[in-house]
Amino acid sequence: MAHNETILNNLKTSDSRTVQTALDILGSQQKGNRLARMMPFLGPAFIASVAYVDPGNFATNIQGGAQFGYMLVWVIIASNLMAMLIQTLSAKLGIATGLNLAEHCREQFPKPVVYLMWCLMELVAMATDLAEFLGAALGFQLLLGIPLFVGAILTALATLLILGLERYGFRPLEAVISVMVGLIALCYLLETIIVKPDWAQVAYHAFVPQFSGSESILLASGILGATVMPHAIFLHSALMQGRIVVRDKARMQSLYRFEIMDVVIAMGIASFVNAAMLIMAAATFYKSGLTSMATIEEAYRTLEPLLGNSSKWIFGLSLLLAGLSSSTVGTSAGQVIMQGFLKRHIPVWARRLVTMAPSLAVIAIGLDPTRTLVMSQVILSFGLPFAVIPLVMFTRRPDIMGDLVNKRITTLLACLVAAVIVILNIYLLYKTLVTG
Amino acid sequence: MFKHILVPLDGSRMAESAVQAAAYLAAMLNARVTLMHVVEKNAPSEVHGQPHLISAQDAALYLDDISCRYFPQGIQVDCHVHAAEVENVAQSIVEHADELGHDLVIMCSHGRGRALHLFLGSIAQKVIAGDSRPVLITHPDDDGNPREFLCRNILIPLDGDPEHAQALPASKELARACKASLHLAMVIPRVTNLSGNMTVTGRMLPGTTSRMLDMALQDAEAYSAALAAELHNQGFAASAHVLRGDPAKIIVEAASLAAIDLIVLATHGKTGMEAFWAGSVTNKICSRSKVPLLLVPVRQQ
Repeated sequence: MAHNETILNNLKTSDSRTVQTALDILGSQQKGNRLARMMPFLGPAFIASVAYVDPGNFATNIQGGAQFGYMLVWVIIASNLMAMLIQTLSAKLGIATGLNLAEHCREQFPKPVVYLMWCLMELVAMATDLAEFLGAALGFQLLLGIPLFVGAILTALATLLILGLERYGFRPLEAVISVMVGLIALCYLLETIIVKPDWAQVAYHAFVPQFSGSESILLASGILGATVMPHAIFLHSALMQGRIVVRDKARMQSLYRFEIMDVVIAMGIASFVNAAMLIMAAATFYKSGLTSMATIEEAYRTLEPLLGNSSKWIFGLSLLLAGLSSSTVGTSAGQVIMQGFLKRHIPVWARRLVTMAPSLAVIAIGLDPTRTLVMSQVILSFGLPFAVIPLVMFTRRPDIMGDLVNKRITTLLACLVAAVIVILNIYLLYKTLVTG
Repeated sequence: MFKHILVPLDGSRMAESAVQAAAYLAAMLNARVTLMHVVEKNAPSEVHGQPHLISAQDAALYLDDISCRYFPQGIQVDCHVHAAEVENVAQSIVEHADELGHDLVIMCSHGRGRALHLFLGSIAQKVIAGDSRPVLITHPDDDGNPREFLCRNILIPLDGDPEHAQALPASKELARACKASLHLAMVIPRVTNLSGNMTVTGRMLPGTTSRMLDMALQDAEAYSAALAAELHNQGFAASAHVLRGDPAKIIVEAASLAAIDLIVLATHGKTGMEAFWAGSVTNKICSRSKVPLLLVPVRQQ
């Protein structure tokens, strides 16, 4: 009897060992297919950069290039440098404190200011969404030749579907979308080689700031708003929030270094793509004197040098996909902002539906899409100081930031950026209110 | 802890796989069993091509038959028919908690399609959402026949969240009674298979995210090794494993590949659409795995 029991026990332990071994093998195996394994190394930065190229950029780049040639290339470069600085500061705030920018605002500012900022940021979120939504709807229109409003309805359905799939952890679709937008971005980069722009001129305008009339300042402001996006600033401070269990200095600094790299690489690629778009618009419309044709519906012509007759389709697809992929980012940002300011949140799908409403309304009224897109980016640029100024205020304080507090030079640069943004906005306000 | 097991039955042969588990565990835990049928309003006579009880009389006879067929002498088995017709079976099961005083519910998942499961949640999941008692979910085999229930190897998925470590006490009790081994498993996602709120992070900061996941991996190894050592000291056969990939998928895979008998999970009890929007891992495991699953409700501390 006793003998039997030992045998049974032996069997039991060996059985348990088998299970253990099986689990250990699973643990050591490289899981996932080849593509999934390669993705983290192949083009993650490129994919990330796609999040910074949304339909708002399409519109401002194309108008900028069409109306002023290469003159505004420097705005793209300057905006991207500013964005790099601001986004890394925001990311640092999240890592160092475990709180996002909106939560810091709630803790540091009086109640009325908090509510006001929240309202403003929700408006900004809607403006962001407007650009993304309109872009996707235009994409549907170009692809299928359907009325814009039908395109908008399709967009609404598509974004909700993507949102649901993403929630369920279904990433491949999003990856495919990002890769395709990336490919189209690549087309623009390739084209600048094909059309051989006047590189001397491009280089000159890349470094010599220049305006010509108030319309160019409006466009510059639009480009700035499309690049340094207020909602992205709030989102960045929340991305790494609460992800690190142990908050020791070495870990935070290691993560911060990776964050700087991520932001700089992604925004660097994005700025090349944006500049390439502007250069193509300059080559297509400005040079041939077709500035009046420079609407987003005609913008596919900028892809003709490389893609010929299929350019209309591919441009439509890129608008559509850029809109869809950036809309998920916009929704997440909205969640972060509301949760942070009000300590309250609504389901993601509800947020999606609410921020969609103004876009649907604008499309239903039938406003000119290109103009609306540019204006939405100008609204973003108005919202910008309310994200940048608190960010600089918080990141320079050692009592908030601890080890990761800004160096003096960082604060100085950030203040400079904030000043430029504020001055630009004051000028715009003056222009619109006084001279109309 | 487990002294009184409640087994809700609907008369189908599938549901009897819960009885197998109840008989096994009652013997091991020295617990009593209550077999219950709740008479459903406008009950169908057939469910999934199998008979479904309609009247209280049939139910009483059926439960008696089950208690004779599955339970050996020496186990106290009571039968309870809730004769007043109800519309919401899950709610009725939950409401019986005070009357019967059971501390474990064992029921069978009817294995309806994954999509339907995803949106509606099973009756079993509704029970766990409404109840503060652990629920053991069993699955019939592919032909709808009851599966043999054993409890030699228990898989406990953990994520470092102390709330989810609440699966441990129940696991330990079962392991002690059934002489089972405990296998702790932590799954750290890769950048490509993050879900929920982490998707955006992974997309916008890929480098940082993969660095962060590496850190999480180190933490997980330390955490699970410490837990396993503690279990060893308490006299359990225990092992710790850190796996990589989509948590739900890896747990389901690990359970089937390593011939696990039971998965124990602490859950917040989100069901249906709520769980869908939260990207609930439990919900996904529940709908994809055929391995018996013990859900332990998280108690807020």
